[in-house]
Amino acid sequence: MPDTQWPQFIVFDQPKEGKPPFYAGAVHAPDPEMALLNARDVFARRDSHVYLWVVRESHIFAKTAEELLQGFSISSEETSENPETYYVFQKTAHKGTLVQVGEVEAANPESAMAAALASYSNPKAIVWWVFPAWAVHQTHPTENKSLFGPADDKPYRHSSFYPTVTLMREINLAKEKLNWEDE
Amino acid sequence: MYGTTIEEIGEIKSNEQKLSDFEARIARGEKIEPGDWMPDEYRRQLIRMISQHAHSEIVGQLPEGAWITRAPNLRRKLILLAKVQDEAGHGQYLYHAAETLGATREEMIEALLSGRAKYASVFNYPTLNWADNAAIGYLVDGAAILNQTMLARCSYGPYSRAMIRICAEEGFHMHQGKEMVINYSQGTSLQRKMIQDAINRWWWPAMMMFGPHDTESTNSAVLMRWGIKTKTNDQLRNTFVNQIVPELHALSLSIPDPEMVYDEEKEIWIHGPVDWDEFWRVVKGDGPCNAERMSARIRAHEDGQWVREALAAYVAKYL
Repeated sequence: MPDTQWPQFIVFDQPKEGKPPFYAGAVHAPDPEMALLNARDVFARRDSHVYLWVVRESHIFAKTAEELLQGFSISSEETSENPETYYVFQKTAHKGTLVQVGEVEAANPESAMAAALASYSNPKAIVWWVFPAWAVHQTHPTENKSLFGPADDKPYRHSSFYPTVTLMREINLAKEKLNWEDE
Repeated sequence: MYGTTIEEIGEIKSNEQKLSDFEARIARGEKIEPGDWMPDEYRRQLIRMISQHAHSEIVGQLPEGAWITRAPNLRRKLILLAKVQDEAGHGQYLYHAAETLGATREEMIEALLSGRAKYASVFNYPTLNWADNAAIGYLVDGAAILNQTMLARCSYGPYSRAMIRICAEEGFHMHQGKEMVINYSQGTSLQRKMIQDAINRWWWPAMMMFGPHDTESTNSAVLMRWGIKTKTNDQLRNTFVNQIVPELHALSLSIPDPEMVYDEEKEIWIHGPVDWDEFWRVVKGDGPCNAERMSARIRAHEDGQWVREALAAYVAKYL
């Protein structure tokens, strides 16, 4: 079989206005546009969403707290380059996920990580990710209705639409009443 | 993702040390994530389970999908459409979760279409009547939710998160079926007959969904040890029986199990023997609809060939 396992994109989801994006999962896709469509199908079939981001997995510089104890080197010749914006993500609970905590200006991923550790120091952080802002591909707000609307509008999707609890209670009450009358 | 090299870690941990660290993480209730070290057997078991589960969601569209055009009214048609569409979506969630372990989509689909991979044997039974959709929602989805609620707590992060989304979405699948079971059981004599017939045919296939008896389940021990499963097949099956049986009795419907007894002391229902010969026959390909389900999947895969070719051509040209 041909290997069509396309590049991996990491998916981030902003659930509500004012809430930071969080790491939702990963999809494979030939390009960012398809990655966003796949991300919509896999991570945004229900609930509300402000936007989805996809970032090529290879653009994310990641460190666990354990790895940070070993330290890492920052190559000095690269630090003179023009700084650019890096987004900073942290995971603070083992059962949680990575959430954006802010951004830093840096010339390369290693300096961005060092700046992130200095600016967003948190003893609870167990995983750190930084990636450049230019690596993010985002859903466009004008597409929100076609991307996320169908999930919000999907008919009959709530259990509460089906009065099974009430129906069972009424049937049980009617039976009890019959038994009581028999006695 | 990058950032970790062996030099940076400084020392290469021995496999025994890695295994004991891994098991300690599971014991602490931590989730194992895609890049983390895991034993090969943990990865193999998860790929097996998640891909089987994905196949089941996809094949599971077929029995009910056959009734979309024949739904008795618009409301039921929309509900059934919404449900079958969810099953397709859930298949996607699970294929993606399996991909985080290094399984490729091609390998998984090939395993299904060649007959090597299994899927839930319950979907190899035919839907003969409209009321079968009621019995499927109530019994089959009811059984599936018990299993999925357990898996939502499993130790592998992406599988656990996929199951949390699936459980949240599937609640209505069971309730729409249950609503029909209730309504038909309280309806005309013909409706009562129809729903009883459907319950009779779907009861045992639903009971078999929990898998072989604990003493026959070869994978259970390792799955429990690594927190993939937290309950045994028989524990889940008994929970199902004690949830459903009192409800069916309340609806004056019978259970096609003459040997089922009520244990007065423990206050639980105990089911009679399951026909495991039938179970293995259907799992191994000899159920009423195995050939039909597979030919439908193969046809769908072949019909989609041009889409895969177009994407491959696009990749070749622009990437």
